[in-house]
Amino acid sequence: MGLYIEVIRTAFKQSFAYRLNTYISTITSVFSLVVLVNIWSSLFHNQSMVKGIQLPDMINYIIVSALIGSLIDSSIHTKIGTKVVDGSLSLDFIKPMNFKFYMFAEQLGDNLFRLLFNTIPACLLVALIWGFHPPTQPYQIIFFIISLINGLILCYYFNFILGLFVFYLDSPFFIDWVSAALFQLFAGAFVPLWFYPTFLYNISMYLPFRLFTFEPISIFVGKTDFSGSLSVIGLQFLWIAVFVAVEKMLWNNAHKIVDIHGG
Amino acid sequence: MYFAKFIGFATDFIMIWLLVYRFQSVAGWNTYEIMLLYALNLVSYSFSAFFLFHPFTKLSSRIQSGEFDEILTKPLNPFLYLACREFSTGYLSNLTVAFSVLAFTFFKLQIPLSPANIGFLIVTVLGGSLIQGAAFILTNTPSFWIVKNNRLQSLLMGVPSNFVRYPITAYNKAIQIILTVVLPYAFISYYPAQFFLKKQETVLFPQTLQYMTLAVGGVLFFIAYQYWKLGLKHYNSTGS
Repeated sequence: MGLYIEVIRTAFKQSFAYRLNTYISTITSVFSLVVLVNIWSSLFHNQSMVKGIQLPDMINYIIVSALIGSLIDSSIHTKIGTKVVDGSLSLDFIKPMNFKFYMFAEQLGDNLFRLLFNTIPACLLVALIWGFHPPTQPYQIIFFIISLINGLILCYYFNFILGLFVFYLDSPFFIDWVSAALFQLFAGAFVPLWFYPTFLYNISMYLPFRLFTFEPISIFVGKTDFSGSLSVIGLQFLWIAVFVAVEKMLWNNAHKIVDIHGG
Repeated sequence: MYFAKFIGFATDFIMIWLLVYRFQSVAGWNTYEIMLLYALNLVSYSFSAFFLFHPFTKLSSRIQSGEFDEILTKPLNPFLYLACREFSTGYLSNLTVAFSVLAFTFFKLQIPLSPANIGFLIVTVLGGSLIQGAAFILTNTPSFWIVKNNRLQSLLMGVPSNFVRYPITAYNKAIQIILTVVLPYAFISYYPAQFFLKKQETVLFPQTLQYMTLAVGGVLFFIAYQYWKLGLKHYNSTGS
């Protein structure tokens, strides 16, 4: 465990190396949030309530979504791709760590840095200007935290699984595009699923993507009730089980392929 | 590759449609009108990226590795040499998609293909491409002075192009002024779209701005090119 914390710390420190980039990224985050707040304010200009959602709910949604977004952001799959191409993967295999958790820890370090220095300052600014209403019920907070952690696990596993395709396909990049498209369409991170037309909403119900970020935020802003939250968390555990199984299967096979090429 | 790109653009369009679906309009602009903004932006971006994406996004790493010196040994203008050597046919697919969408929005919005509209479109796309091209140059030329500045491009190109996906009247006055005067991205899509849509929106600026895209693009590109030459000079004097 200590080893992984060290990996998180190193990744965190590496991000410090380029200060100018950090400042620029903070400004970028502020502007991206301002765009969203302005657009939603303009959408809610004529109607004060749409599908039971009001503008303050939406501003809450934007802020929490940005915070979670910087935590789940993941380049694990592209990193694995590069490691396979340049051969540095073999060095990672001899490290006394589980490769998967090593990748997770490194990503978490990057993300915590972004969260602290880019997203939180930007979100504070937005919250100060447009207001922020934290949840009132204790169960909301507890369920939010559980579903958030589950969402992170799901997201990291999903990305790792995508990365493993590099062992099976010659040019795995199109997997990125397809998964990015699916995520954009069915995760509800940009346009919340509340506003979706019925048929797209129904499709997204059968896919795991909404469980990554949309459902935790929905619990946080109070749009999912007690029993609804419980079933979301149950579903998350179910999908985690599925992802773990798929990952195990792909990883064991990938190991064999690498061994053969490595001679 | 083409298929993958197509999926990316298709998702972008579906997202615009989804955003506007429940609300009917953003700041008085309907779905197709917003798609027109997106298409104008995409067409001009694709044209400038066709020539300038690879030369300029790779500039920083080339300077670091010393590979850039090779370009200076050629008895040609380095800018033209790079633009001609490395134009990227990959962006032809972007152009195909962009023009298809443009045609689609023209059809849906019943914008007639009159000589005036076609002429205006050509001038607008040319001006827009010059603005986008200037942005490529301006955001990457600092590489001659600063080693790592890869985030500058996302601030000065990514952020404003996100803003101008929607009519700038959706924003407060400060942002409208920035997008017109400081980072004039509104000239790529918002102002010219007013001409096609015959919109008479009371913005902070006079209606004549819709005709200014080419002029803005020309001036900006000229400035960018001078800046690039300055960077090159600096590089020559420090490089050994």
